[in-house]
Amino acid sequence: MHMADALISPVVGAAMLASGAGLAAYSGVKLKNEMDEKKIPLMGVMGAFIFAAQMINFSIPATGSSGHLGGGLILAAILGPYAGFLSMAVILLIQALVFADGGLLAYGCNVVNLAFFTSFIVFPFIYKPILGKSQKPGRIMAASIIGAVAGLQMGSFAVVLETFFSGKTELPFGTFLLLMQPIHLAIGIIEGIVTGFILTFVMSARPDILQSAGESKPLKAGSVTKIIVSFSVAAVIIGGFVSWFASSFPDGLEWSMANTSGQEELDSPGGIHDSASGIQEKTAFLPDYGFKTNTMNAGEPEEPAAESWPSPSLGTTVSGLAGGALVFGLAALIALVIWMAKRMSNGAFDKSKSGRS
Amino acid sequence: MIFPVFWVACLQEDSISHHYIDFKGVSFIYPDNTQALSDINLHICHGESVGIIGANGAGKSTLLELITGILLPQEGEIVVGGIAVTKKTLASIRRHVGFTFQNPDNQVFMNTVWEDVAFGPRNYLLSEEAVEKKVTAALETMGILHLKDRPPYRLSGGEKRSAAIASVLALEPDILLMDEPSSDLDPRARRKLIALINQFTHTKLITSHDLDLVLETCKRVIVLHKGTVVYDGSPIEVFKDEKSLHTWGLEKPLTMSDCLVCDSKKNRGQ
Amino acid sequence: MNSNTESFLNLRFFDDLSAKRTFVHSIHPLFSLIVACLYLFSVISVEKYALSRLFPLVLYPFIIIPLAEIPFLKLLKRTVYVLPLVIGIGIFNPLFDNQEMLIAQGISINAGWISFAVLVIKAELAVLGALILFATTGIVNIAYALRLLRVPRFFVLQLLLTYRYITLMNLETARLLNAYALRAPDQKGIAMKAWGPLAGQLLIRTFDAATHVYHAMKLRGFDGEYRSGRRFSVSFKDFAYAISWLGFFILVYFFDISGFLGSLFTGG
Repeated sequence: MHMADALISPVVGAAMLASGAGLAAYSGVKLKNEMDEKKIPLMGVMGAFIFAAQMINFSIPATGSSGHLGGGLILAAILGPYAGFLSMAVILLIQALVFADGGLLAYGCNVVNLAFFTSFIVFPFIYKPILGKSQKPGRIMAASIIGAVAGLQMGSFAVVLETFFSGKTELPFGTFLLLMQPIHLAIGIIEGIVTGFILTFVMSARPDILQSAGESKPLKAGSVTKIIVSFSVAAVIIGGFVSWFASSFPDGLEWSMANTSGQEELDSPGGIHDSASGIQEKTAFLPDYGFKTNTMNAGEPEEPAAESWPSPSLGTTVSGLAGGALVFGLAALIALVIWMAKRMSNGAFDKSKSGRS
Repeated sequence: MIFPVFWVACLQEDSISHHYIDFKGVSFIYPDNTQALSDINLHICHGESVGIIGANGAGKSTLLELITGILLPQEGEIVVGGIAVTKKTLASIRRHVGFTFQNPDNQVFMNTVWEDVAFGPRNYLLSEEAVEKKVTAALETMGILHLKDRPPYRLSGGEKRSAAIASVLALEPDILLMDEPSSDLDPRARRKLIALINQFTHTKLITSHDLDLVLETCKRVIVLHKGTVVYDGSPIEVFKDEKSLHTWGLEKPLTMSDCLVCDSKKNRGQ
Repeated sequence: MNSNTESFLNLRFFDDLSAKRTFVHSIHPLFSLIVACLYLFSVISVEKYALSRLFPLVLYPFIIIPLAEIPFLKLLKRTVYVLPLVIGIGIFNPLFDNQEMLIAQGISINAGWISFAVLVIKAELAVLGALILFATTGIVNIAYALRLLRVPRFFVLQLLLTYRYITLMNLETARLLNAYALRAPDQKGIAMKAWGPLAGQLLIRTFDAATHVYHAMKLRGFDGEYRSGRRFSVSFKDFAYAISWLGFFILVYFFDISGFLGSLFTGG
């Protein structure tokens, strides 16, 4: 599942972007030292293959539904962990830029969720050990299924964590987890089977393809711990830096507070509070607006929104919404004017259109 | 049946600056143990245009790939302009040799025609002005300057082929190798291609199933059959010899065949 | 199959748009990229309940889209992919967040619905921002901007190669799926026994194509380094463009334009 920009906070986005960039840089350096140049076009064309293969509907027997290929594991199996990671990172960037799948600021999250776990955890510690040296179909199938399931479980868990730390949704941690993990178990099994079938076929038809991937040495345990350590250190440093940066602005306090209070709200005490207010609401014939607004704005001076312009978290008032509609209308008007002007200025539109067809 | 392998000596024999190609006892076996070429001995002169023909699997593409060093022979030696093709000399050989692939999609690998043609010159660390000059010149030669910002999938088969050739011309090679240049071309694009090939003064080696194209562009023909050279000489001579052509899995060029519509006989061999 | 041609058309849509020559297209790609990132940052920084603070941010797409001659509805159609996810997760906000929020004397609304609306609009704006960036720059210029940001050559080359071969692989897959569908007319999707051979064949072809591409690159002097030679000169216009947007984003960030305008009219 691709993380969307809207679901993350700037802090989480920046921290994950930094981690993703760090991992990509690390893989790039590793590849430069170890890699056969031939892999350069192979990575690009394999990336395009994943795009194309994701469009194939693999119909699942006796269910009437169909599955798709995710791609992370098959890339690692063919290209090795570093090249597989980079290839997946490129795919995710194109998806964010062209297909509106995931976002640019959530790009780091997606790189970690969908590329890091399969390439650097699943491939060396699960896939390779299960596969062993004998590349028999049964082994390939088992390694693919277990690998794909494990990769997706880690990825979806990371989605839950990132959403939780961003505090943009009210979905309680546990509920979200209970929703995500089983769905991704099913997706993982299908993806594993598809991956297994493809790899077994390639193994029997063109063993040289898989052997060339086998040559790329799997990671040593030491270097993986190093990655994980540097990854977490980077996340902490960047997260800390961004929070500090944010709080040094007059407005930043709310920003970081919203993050922490968001977490508290999703934590256990918030749950009780929420359900309590829920009950109160149901029992009360006319809810006490004044009281509710107070709880909403707890910790902040009660002022009309217009005057307290530095605190955006004050919520939304009718005048704010009316003003918003006005702004929207003005923006639309500007758009219309530009559009009209464009049309009138000796048909620039038509010219460029006919020039291309 | 087997023709004597003959060819007159080149008019001007070699000095280093001349771009000749020598095959000395070259054999090549693929990793799956198919013998693609066995004991090939050839001398291709500077400025010569040579057609290489033969049925599928006769070893035509292998022969070209050996010249570029994409493949290296197990036996024998290939010498290009005085330099033997080995792993160490690849870089300098490739500066002189231009190769157009059978499938232009594999050759036009960048996202616009301009970027693709500029790829080679940029690798040789030319200044951006020099790159621009070379790219413009190559695109103009091929008559596709107006396509420079097009993505490759927006090109017709002929345009893609032209872009592929331009990408090679931008490097100003001395020797031009073309693998099946007229496949997937419509008749008009093919006609243009023939005119273009005839303009080039390079040493040219062209493999093709399109024997009419060979007839119009090459003064010498080499026939490969099961990995060996079975004929080396004038195109007209060999194209008249229907019996041998049949043995090698080839057909007479259409321009030399009897006309089914107007009943004219062209079989000059009889 | 449908989604297959769809992604092909998607690329074509953006390649055509990015080939236009409008004022927005003439901006140095690095400046376009920075402005787009600042915009996305402004969008996602909007507070959970601050619905009114989101409205001024529509100005960015509303100015760029007509200025860059992007067909608005066609672009909008391409942003819907992200909505199911955001709606799916966001819909829990009204369920779990039952606090009442006073928006005017006597009128209140469930806060969860407000934060849900904020989430959905944010998702829409963020996606628009990214797509606008791509539609006004294109892959070659994005790659160039990334190089200026010191993104390693290696990564940029991968981006270009992958992008180039998406269209080709898509057409190839479409042909393969057509061939399959013609011989299995009543079947939905690909039967299990064909999973390996079908996608495996495609993978083998991919591998062989990659080998050819590699040789084609090597023959043209490729030594493992990608060199993007394209040069854009930075002009006053680029700075003016970036600074005006930056100023606007800062204004929107610190000043509640909607609230201010609204209070003028409603007197609230």
